Formats: sequence, structure tokens, C-alpha cells
Amino acid sequence: MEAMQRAVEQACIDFQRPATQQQAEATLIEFRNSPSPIAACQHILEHSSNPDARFQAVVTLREAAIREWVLCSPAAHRSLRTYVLHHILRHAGEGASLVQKQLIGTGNPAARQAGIQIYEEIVTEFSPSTASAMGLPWDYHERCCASLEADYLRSFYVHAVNIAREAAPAAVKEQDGGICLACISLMMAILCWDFRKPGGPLQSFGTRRSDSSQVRPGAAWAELLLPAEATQWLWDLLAALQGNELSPLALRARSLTALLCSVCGDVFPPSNASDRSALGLPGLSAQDAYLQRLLGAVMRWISPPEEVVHRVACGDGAAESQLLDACRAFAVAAPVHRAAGFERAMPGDSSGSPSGGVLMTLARLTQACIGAGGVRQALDVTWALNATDILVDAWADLLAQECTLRQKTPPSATSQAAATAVFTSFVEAALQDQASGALEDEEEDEEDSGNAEAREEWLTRAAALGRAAVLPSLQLLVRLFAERQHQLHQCMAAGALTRDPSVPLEELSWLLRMGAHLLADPGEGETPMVPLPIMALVSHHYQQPNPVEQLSQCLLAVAGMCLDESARPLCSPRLMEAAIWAVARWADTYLFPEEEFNSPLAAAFGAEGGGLHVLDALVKMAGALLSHWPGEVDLHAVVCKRLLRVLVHRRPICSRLVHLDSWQHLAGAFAAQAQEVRELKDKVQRSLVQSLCLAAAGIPNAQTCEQYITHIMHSVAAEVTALAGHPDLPSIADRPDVLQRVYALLETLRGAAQGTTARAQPTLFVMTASLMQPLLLLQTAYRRQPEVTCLILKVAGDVVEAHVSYLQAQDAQVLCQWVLQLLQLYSKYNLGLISVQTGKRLQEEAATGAYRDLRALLKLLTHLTQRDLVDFGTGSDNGGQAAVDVAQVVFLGLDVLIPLISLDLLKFPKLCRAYFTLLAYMLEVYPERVAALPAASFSTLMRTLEFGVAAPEADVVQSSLEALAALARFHCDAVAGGHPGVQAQNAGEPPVLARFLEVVMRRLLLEEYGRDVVEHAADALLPLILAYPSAYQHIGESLLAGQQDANMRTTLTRALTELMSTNGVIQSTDRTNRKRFRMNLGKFVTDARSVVRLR
Amino acid sequence: MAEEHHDVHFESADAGASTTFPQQAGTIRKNAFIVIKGRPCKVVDVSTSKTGKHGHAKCHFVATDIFTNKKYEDLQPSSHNCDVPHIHRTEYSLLDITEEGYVSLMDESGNQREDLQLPKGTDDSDKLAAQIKKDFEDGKELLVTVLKAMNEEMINSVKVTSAGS
Repeated sequence: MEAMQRAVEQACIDFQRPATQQQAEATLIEFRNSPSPIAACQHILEHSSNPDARFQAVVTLREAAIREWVLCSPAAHRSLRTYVLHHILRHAGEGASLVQKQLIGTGNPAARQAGIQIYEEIVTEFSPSTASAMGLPWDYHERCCASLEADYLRSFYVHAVNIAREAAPAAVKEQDGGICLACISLMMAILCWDFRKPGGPLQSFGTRRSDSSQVRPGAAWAELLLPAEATQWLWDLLAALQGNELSPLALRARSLTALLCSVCGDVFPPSNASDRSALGLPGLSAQDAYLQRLLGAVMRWISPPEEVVHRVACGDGAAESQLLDACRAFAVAAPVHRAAGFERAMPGDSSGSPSGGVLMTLARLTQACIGAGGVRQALDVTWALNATDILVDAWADLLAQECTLRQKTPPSATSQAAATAVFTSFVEAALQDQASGALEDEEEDEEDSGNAEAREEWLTRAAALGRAAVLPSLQLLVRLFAERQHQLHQCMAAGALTRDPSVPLEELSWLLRMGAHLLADPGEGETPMVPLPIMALVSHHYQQPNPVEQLSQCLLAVAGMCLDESARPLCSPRLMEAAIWAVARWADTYLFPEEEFNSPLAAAFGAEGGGLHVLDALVKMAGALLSHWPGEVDLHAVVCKRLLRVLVHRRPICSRLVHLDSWQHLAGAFAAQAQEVRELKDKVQRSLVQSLCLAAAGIPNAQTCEQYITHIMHSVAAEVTALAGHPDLPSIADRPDVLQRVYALLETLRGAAQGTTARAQPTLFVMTASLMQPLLLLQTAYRRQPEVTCLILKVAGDVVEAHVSYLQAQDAQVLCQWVLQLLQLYSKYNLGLISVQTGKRLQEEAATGAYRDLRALLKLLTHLTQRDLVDFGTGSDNGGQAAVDVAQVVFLGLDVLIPLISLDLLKFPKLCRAYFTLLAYMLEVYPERVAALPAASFSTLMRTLEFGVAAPEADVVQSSLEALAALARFHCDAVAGGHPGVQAQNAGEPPVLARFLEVVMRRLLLEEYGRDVVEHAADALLPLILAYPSAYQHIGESLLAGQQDANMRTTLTRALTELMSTNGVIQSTDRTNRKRFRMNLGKFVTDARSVVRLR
Repeated sequence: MAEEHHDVHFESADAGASTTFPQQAGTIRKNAFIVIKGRPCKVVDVSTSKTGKHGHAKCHFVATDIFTNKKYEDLQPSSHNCDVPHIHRTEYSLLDITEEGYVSLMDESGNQREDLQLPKGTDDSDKLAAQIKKDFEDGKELLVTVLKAMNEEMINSVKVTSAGS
């Protein structure tokens, strides 16, 4: 050691002299590369008085540590880390002045830049989510993070601003050595810090506190961010960089500006007059003044908008970059400040001249981008599409408040004018886009549903714009409807097409969707309200004609074209799809409205006014489209799934619907299984019959209701019976025409079940009961057609769901018996089949087949368990007799199901959720029967349960933990009572259940954290600990074994002991004890996680 | 009217002799069967498209021959009828396998036939044949399903009814 020290010291001295330099260099390099030099380095650091030698030792130590890190033991890692930290602490004072000078002082620019980068690294490193993995407990990271934010972050920021301001003039000439750029990066890193909410929880274990991308510093940051001088240097810098907009510095500076735009929250002091005058800003709050400065800066990038957009269109990259940055800045500021804030910050003059106000400028910018191709997918101008997309987002946020909150004051004149201008250009450009794409072929593929969603999203945002200036928007659309309808009719003369109508058709299709979006919100099962801006317009706008009514009539008129035989050549399937979609959305809100409008709308569409007439027309349209547009499956689906569903959704409509001749006609066509009904796709038939049945809710008289349902269903029921009883069934069953009928009939039965309401239920059950035997026969006949088999299971699932909670004990018996027989048949024919399906694709198909069957089975069983609840509720006892009980059926089902289930199949989320829900229920109610399952089934079940506990989906974890808790409690209680519990299944070392102790612990301590997981885990953990105290002991020991630090060990030991000792927890699984344990576990997890989780 | 329909449909005597039936293209689903270029096929994919945006719907079928696994495609207006093959599936107990790969089968009513060979021609068929041979040699009782369409026949799947000795 000594010799090594002397050698290094000597070499350092020799190195200074040119004569011996080479020799010395060789010595030093040799020292640096020598194996395991760490001890020698430490020795030199401790004992040498030569600073150069100490420097060499540090460098060597660093290199060696990196080089040999993987070779060292964890203990060596720890001791080295401890040594280095201690050394730094002990000698902190000595080098401090030097280091400080290096970091912030007037040293050379490269060093200063590096120093600033170190600060940035520190910020990144101290944020737990971005910290690199150092193998330290989370608790440590959290405390570092809190300390940095409280004590240092602000001074870092001030520091960065000061240096940047100082360096800016040189930076413009690129003579600052990158210091300014580094400062800006540092500021951005600081602003992106995940700021703590005041009083928020201290330990969140690496999950971000706020999900949004907004910058939410606390009130303490106000003095740093809000004063004018805090940002003036940045504007000066940007101004000085003019002509050099694509330099990294300019790009960064603009990004920083955008980030500053998104600052929100407590940093803005509550605005009141005294504060404002204190800040010397009469009339403008601190927030508005801040926004004013930012907007002023951003506006410079896009002034004047038309010219900038023109330059971009000509390929000016600098202008494009500035334009997009400006759009982004507006978009992030919009949700914070809203239109009102924008207007206060930069009001236009009252004359509304083009130069006035940020909102008008923004409108002009948006118009210019739209004009450059911003909504024309066909043109494919990426920048314009992006810019428009961002701007429309910004508008939606700007105007959001005005649209959604019931405000006393309507949107200001300026925002209305701006919204009108933007909406008008938007509509015109979109129509142009439609027209230019009208002649292209339409290909439907997987992306299409995504496209449709994106289109809906667009229209929703556009509608938000339109609603901000609702009167002119409605008038615009009404005018366009009239024009395009006229153009469409021009394409036809004397009942024949004379011109290609594609363009007006496509434009009308778009207008229909836009109009429906503007007028109505989506229902999604609820009854949507009339949007507030429209409500306000209706109640204030007394003059005739009312634009809301006018636009409604436009939608109805286009849809109604299908009733006019002479106009039918013009009614393309696509137009009708859009029209029916639009009137369905409209009808949900406006037809027979719940809240009667005291207005023209009541007269036009209310129950007492023209509503009945409109309803009749809508039903006739449905009938016409189903019969005169054969093979248009998409159109039929919209008619049945959208329009008819809306009509039967509300009772006031139903009660009038069922008396209409048009409805009777539709029901009659179905009842007679007329040719046009038979030709509908089976799923469409299902949806049709569902609506027909649901309409029965509108019939008050039970007998009439029975007649109505019987009328609809009798021929279907007769056909099923006849087919099942057909003497040649085995030979004709596979015939395609028969098969197609079977699909249709089974789908119809599903539809009837899905359309069951309380009033129609008795009639439908009688009908279903009469078909149970025939369905069993069909199940046998179609045993080799997996799709039919599955469909029958689905029928059963739907039937059980529809009826199970209404039935009397006797009928419930019938139902259970039937399901039992179905399951027996299913298991008889479907287990153990190996087929030619060994090819990869076919195997996938087999997997989806298994998936489909399993889901159908699971649904059936889950619905059946609902019956238990009914029986418990009524306290009915039919036990003791030879009755089939629900549990028996469900366990037979589980017998069938468990061999089919595999961990691969559980990766399908829907299946997974359904499976664990059922499992949780069965284990909770019948743990003793689960314990008695055959060993193979039981172990499969346990494997799936283990999968469930570790699953990422919260609800799956919850169900699995509930299931586990039930089983563990059962076992624990049974053992306490001297019974075997699940002992029979529990052979092996460690026992199956005991292994779950570790699984749950791992979940709690090491994996992603959710508060609710703790609650559910507690119920599972308590009985497990009670049943297997030695396993618990073992886990505790292994946890402790991983901890070297004495403090950590103490914390952990205390946590482990307290879990089972404090708060009055005793050795019992009763309710109060479970509650206490739950509280203990919450604390235990917080304490233990902070120690055990490393990063 | 309804009664008439299903009487007509299910009891027409000569329909049983036909090997194909007409069905509207729009109602043919994935995994169903269809005749393309005179071959019985299983539909692996259906997509709909329109002639121009405002034309009538058309169905584009991608299907594989159920015997040879060869891929076929077809485009039909969705309101037109397509031919759908009548697929028969019959289960037989496997009695014997000869050296030449012929099998001896017996149906539910005890009728025997010896005119069928083990499946062959594609990878999947060869695998199935190997599986059947192996299980048969292991002494398992086997039930094979024979697929018949448009006057062609092939063993399509096998099921073990008892594990054997």
C-alpha cells in the first residue's frame, strides 16, 4: 500500500517535468488499469498529502468501480458506496470553494455548461419516477425528492434564470459555450417536476401525483414566475434570434415558452382588486397579466397569420416550426385560462377590426390553416393537419366553459364572432374534402372503426365550436342542407338518374352527422338533455322559423326520402346510414322530450304536438329500409341498433309506438317471418326482435301485452318445435338452408330474451319453457357444429339473465334442470376432441372457439348464481327434496369449464374478468364444495387464482383476492373447529394455500401499488397468517435477511411485529378483528414498502 | 304464411339430394361455408365494400378449400345469392387401419365401410393421420368424424372415447 502510494506520488511529481513525463504517464496508466485497485485508492485518499495523487486515486477509483462493479459482491458495493459518501462528507469543506467556482462561478464556459447540466441531472435524479436504479429503498428516494423540492428547487430556478439572462446576449452570437441552452433545459426540467400538492401524502411510492401534463407549482413559485422581469429576458432572446429560428437555442426557448403557458394552479394568487393594485396592475389580475405577456410573445411568431401560413405553405421551415410551437402554446394555455381569460389579457377593440384581440387573431390563424388543407385528409398536408388539429383542440378548451356550465352570461361577442368564423371555414372545408373524396371506393377494414371514432371525435369538437355561436351555426347548416338537397334532386329527371349524385350525397352525409352532433349529445343509455346553448336559444328566440326546428326538419327530410319511391334511386345506402344515425341521435333528445319545452319545439316534436307524426314517419322509414334495401347489412344494423333502440328506450314513446299502424305492420312482418325479415342477417334479426319485445313496456294491460308478445313470437316458437321434432333431423341438420334458419331462430330467441321487461316476462317465460326440450334436441343434433352449440349456450345465458330474478321456485327448478341438461350434453360432446386443427391459424381459431364457448358458459353460470340471491332474499326452502339447486348446476359447469381454461385464455381480459367474478362468488358461498373438488381441478383453480392475484387489472385482483380470502377463511375456521378444511388438497411442502401468503405479500410489497389492493389483500392475508404462522415467520425472516442497514432492519422488524400485535388484533377471523387487521396492514404496507422496494 | 314457409323449407323431398344451396351473400358469416370456383370452402374472412362510396354493398370472401386447404377469393353483391355446400359430418368408430392406410369404420347403426383412407395431402392432414395411428396403436378407442361435401369425403377429426389399456 505504502509502496503503491509512493509510486503514484512520485509519478505525479515526475509528470510535471517534461523529461520524465513519459515514464510517469506509463506508471499512472498502469496504476489505473491495475486489477482491484480500490483498496490502494482508498489508502492514497486517506494518507497522501499530494492533491495530484489524490486526484489520480479518485479517477482510478471511479474507473475501477465501473469496470469491476458486476464482479463485486453486494457487500462490496455497499461498503464502497458508504466509503465514497463518507469521504465526500468529511472533505466537503476543502474542495467546496473550488467546486462552487467550477459550477456557478466565472470559470470557463464549458465548465459552467457542465455545471448547469449537473443541476439538470440532479433534478432528474431526485424525481423518483426518473431516478436511475441505485438499489436504495423508495423511502429514501421520497425523502430526497421532498427535500429537493422544499429547499433547493426554487433556488436552482432563480439561478438558472440569472445565468441565462446574463448569457443571453452572448448566446445570440453563439459565444456563450452553450450555457444559455443548458439553463433553458434546466428550467424546463424544473418546470416538469412533479410538484407536491400542499398537504398531500408524503409517500406515494413512485406513482406520479398528478397525471396531467400541466405545470402545477405551488404558491411559493409566484414571485419566481409571475413578475414581468422573470420572462422579459426570454422575449428579448427570442427577438434577438430572429432570422435564426431553427437554431437549437430558439427551438428550446420556444418550448420553454410553451411550457410556461401551461403553468396553472395555486401559483396564481386569488385575484382581487387590492392585490392587483399592489402589483401595480390596475384592472388586470396577476394571472391575466402573466397570460398577456406570454400571448404577446407567442403572437409574434404568427403575425400576421395569413402571411405566416402562406410562408409555411411555400416551404419555409422556420415559419412552420414557429407556427406549430405557437399552436401548442395556445393549446396548453387554453384549458387554464379559457376564452374569457384570453379576452381579458388581450381584448380586441370594440369595432372588431381584424387586428383586435387574441381571439380574432387565433380565429384568423385557424381559418388560414384550414384554408391550407387543415381538414382535408385527401390533400395530406401534414403540417396543416397537425396545426388545425391542435388549434381545434385549443378552441374546444377555450370555449368549453361557455358550453357546459349554465352561465348567466352567454359567450362574449368576440368569442362568438371568432367561433362563427372558425366554424364556417371548418364546415366549408370539410364539405370540400367530402366532395373531393366522393368518388373514391370505400374499403372497410379493421382501421375503419378507428377512423369512425376519430371522425366522431372531430365532429364533437367542431360541434363545441358551433355551439359557442349557436344561432349562426344552425342557420349555416340549414342553408347548406337546402342547397345540397337541391343539387341532389338536380341529378334526377323523370324518375331516372341523369348525373352522378356522389358529390351531393357525400356532402349531405357529412352534414347529417354534423347537424346531429350540433343539435344533440350522445345518449349512451341515458336520456340526453338538450344542450344548454340550444336550450338558451330556444327559450330566447321567439321569431319564426325557429332554427333548431328547421335543422331538425332538415335531418328528418333527408331520412324521409326513403319513403318517397320516386326519390329512392337517390337514397344510397351510405346516405341512409348517416341519415338514420342522425335522426336516431336527434330523436333521443328531442322526440317527446322529458322536460316539456315551453317553446316551438313542444309543438313540433312533443307528445301533444307533431311528435306522433314524426314517430310514425320514423317507424315507416325503418320498415322501408329493412325491406327495400336488401343485403345492406350495415344499414340494417343502424336501423335496428340505433333508431329502433332509441324509440323503445323511453316509456312515453313506447306507449304511443305500440298503437301505431306502422309499428303493427313491422311487428306483423316479423311475426309472419316474411321473406324480407328472413333475408336479414341473423344478428340484425336479433336486434329487431329485441326492440319489438322491449316496446311491450308501453302496453299497460297485461292481457294485451300477452297477446302482443304471443303474436310476435308464435311462429318462431312453432318453427323451432317443428324443426326439433323433424323425423329426419339428423340428416337435414347440416343442410345450409336449415343451418341458416337455425342461426336465425336462435338469434331471435336471444333477442327476445334480451328484450325481456317485467311486463312481458311471464309470457316470454312460458314461450321459452315450451322450447326447452326442443333446444336440447337441437343441442344433440348439432353436437358437431361448435358454432351452433355455442349459440345455444348463449341463448341459455340470455334466458337465465332475463328470467332468473323474476321466477317462482317452481319455474326456477325448470330453468335449473334445463341448464343442467344442457351442460351435461355439452360436456358429453365437447371434451377430448382432437381434430385436424393443428395448423397454426386453425389452432388460433380453435383457441377463439374455446374462448367463445367459455365466455358463453361463464355468462350462463354467473347469471345463474343471481338466483341464489333471490332465494336468500325470499328465504324459500326447497332443499331436502330431489331438487336441483343452483350450486349443483354451477359446479357441474365448473367441472366442464376448468379443464378448458388455460392461462393463455385468461389473457383475454373479458374472459378473465368473468372467470374471476364467478370464482369469487363460488368460493365465498360454497367454499366447502370447492375444497372437495377433484385434485386436478383444484390445482388448476389454484394456479388460475395465483395468476389472478398477480394480474395487472384491478378488478381481477380484487375478485381473486376475494376468492382467496373466502377459501382461506374457510380453511382457517375449519381447522380451528377440528375439521380438515382444504387439507386433502393441501399436500406438499409448503402447502398450496401457504404459498399464497408469499404471493400476496409480494403483490403488496414489491409490485405496483393500489390502495384498494390492501383492503382486499387484508381479508385474504389474515386467515392465511393464522393458519400458517410458520410460513409467515419464514417470510419475515427472508425479508429481514435482505436488509443490511440496521435502521431499516429495525423498521421492518417493528412493522412485522406490529402487524399482528397492535390495535387489538387477535387470533380470529371475525368481522371486528378483520377490520382491525385491515388498518394494521395499511400501516404495515406503507412502512415495509418504503424499506423493501428498491430503486 | 309462416307455417307454409317452414313446411316448404324442411320437408321438400328432393332438396336432400342437392349438394349445394343458395344463400344471400350478406348473410354468410366467417367460418361458414361457400362454393368458390366449384370447390367447397370455409370462409376465413369476409369484408364488405362498396362500388364508389354510394354504391351497393359487396362482400369480399377469403376462403380455403376444406379438403385441399387451397386459398380462394370471391367478390359478390351482398344481396345476391351464393352457393353454399352441404357439409355432412358423420361419426364412425375406428375398427382397423390397414398397411396401405385404408381404415375400417363402423357407424352408429353398425354399418361398416372400408373405402376411406387416412387423411393426407396437407401438413395438417398428415399430422392428424399420425395422431390417429398412434392412438390406435396405443389401444385407445377412437371416434373419427368424416366430412363430406360435394361428393368428396375425408376424415376430419378424431376423439378418444376411452384411454385404452
